[in-house]
Amino acid sequence: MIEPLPRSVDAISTDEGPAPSEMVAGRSPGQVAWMRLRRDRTARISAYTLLVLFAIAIFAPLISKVMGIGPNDTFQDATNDIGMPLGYLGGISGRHWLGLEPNSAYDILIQLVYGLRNSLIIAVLAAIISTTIGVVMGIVAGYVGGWVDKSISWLIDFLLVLPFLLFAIVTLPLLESLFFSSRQAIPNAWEMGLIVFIFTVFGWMGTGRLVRGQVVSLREREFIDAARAAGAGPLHIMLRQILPNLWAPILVTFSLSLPGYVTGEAALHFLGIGIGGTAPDFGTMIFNSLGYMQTDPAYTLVPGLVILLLVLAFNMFGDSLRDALDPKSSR
Amino acid sequence: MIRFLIKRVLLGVLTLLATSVLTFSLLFMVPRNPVQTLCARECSTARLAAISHAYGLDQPKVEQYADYMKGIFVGRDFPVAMGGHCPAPCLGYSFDNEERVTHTLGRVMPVTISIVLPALVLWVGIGIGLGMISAIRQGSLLDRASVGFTLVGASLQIYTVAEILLLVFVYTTHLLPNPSYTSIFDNPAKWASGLILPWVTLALLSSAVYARLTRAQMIETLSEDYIRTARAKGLRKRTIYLRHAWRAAMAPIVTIAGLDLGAVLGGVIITEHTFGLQGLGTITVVAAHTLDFQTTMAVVLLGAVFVIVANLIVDVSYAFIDPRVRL
Repeated sequence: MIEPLPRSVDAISTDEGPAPSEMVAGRSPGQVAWMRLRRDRTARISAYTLLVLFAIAIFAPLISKVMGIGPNDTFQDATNDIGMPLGYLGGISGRHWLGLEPNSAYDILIQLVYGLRNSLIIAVLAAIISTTIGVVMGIVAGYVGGWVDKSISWLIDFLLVLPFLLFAIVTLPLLESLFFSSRQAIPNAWEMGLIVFIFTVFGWMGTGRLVRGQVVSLREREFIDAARAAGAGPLHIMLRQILPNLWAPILVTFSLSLPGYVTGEAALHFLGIGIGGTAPDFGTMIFNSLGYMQTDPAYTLVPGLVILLLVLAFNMFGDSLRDALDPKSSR
Repeated sequence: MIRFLIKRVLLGVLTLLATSVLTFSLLFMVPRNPVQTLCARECSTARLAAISHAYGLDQPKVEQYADYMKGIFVGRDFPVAMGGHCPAPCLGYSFDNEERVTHTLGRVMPVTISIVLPALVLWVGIGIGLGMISAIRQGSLLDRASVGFTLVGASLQIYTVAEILLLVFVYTTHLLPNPSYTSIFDNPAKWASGLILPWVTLALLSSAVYARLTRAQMIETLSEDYIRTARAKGLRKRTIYLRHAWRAAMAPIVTIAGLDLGAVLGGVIITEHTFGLQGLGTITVVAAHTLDFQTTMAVVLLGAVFVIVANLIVDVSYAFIDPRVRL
């Protein structure tokens, strides 16, 4: 009588049970990476910065309530007849910590808080969706091979050639004109959704190419042969055998793609593309502020510095993460 | 080598065709008749239809696409109101600008080229130079300063740099005039002084990225065995760095530069917009806003041609930089 095969290789390898605690326990690669990350000062500082910025973004409505200023509140009585804020440095006061926007008389701090919120929502959504698409495409192309691989690889090469910002500039007004007439105000959720959509369409290829390369080499390894011999289907092999080996590069590309989306969103709005909505955002703020560079330089520099802080923290954290997850690195 | 070249050129042409089809079909989803801008002054439906017919806008989409492609390669005939015959690289007629797209491009291209080329020289020079020096003098004060610069520089945004430069050099110290474009043939001094801020702005960020890459590559190359051999046989330092290490370190950087070109295009658009220069980037943004189909299509095609040709050059130059590569 033939014994039934185990359903997966996992069933064989996890037979040993937990090791007694007195023994010298080996660390899993994940634990090693975590330990390295915690020891890395750059990683700690950038992670704390990101935590604070994310907290501000998440609790934006709360901050707005505590300060008693809404994102669309104007303070015309604190500006003079030509719309310039009264007082020094663009109207900085106990109530308006970063002053007021000239002309529109919005509170800059609250605009920044909501701008951060919108920017991070778009960036995180775009990064999650595009990374997912990239991973799926990469695994399928790498594992299935043949014409599937050829066509996905061609698609990746093709989309990589198209200049990203140029295409985003061209497609966003196009898509908006499809759904809304030029007189209509576009709801913020719609506009953010469209931006995420465009970023996803033109943003998944990097991950896709990276994952495909990894899968092509993993496919030939013994443990995949073993899984196949044990009767595992392709779906099980792709998701349960190959995917767990790819978490490190996926995490790194994910975290390094976030700043790209933050700056991409700011750039689009800076160029005046897709500002049918009324949501506060960095790009529009920076563009509006260009005209006040001589009269109100504080207004000009603050949003730029917030983006710099955000992108710098993302970049530094991403680099540290890459170092920590790289088994060859000795740090 | 020849076979590789032919294969790459064919692939490039195929990609261009795919881009043109993609852009064309994207733009044709627009529910807007470009003739309507012409007819801003009251226009009867019959007159609208007549004009549409004269411009070939009532043809099936596939035929319009064929006409467009024919225009690029052999030229096409427009109604007299649009200037009659449009010779070979005909990129259509923009109803918004009321002129042929090639005319618009001819006007704005010198501006964009005047911004990009000097900026390119600056950033390659600064980026690679700084990266090399800091790799050779690893751990020195200069190295640490340069690493700091690359970290912050790579995270800075073009508009922020532009703002700071404008604030310092134009509005506060009045050392430079407000950036503007003058033809280099009319007045080279004015050309340079008017564009130096855009050059620095565009070059600063890229040079930070390239300094960082060069430093990492150089450090890796300098730890290789053949460099030790070169040192052991008593070669001069300059020979080791410039002849042995530099070539090997350049190869990956050139590859990344090829992949990066799309991002450079984006940078040019933002730079022009920030300084208010009437270049390719500015007309792209305006065309995208007004859904000016003909100009948009031309700009996208031009961008794709630029990236594809540059990538081809990168691939070929690979063989010259790294003798181990045989095409």
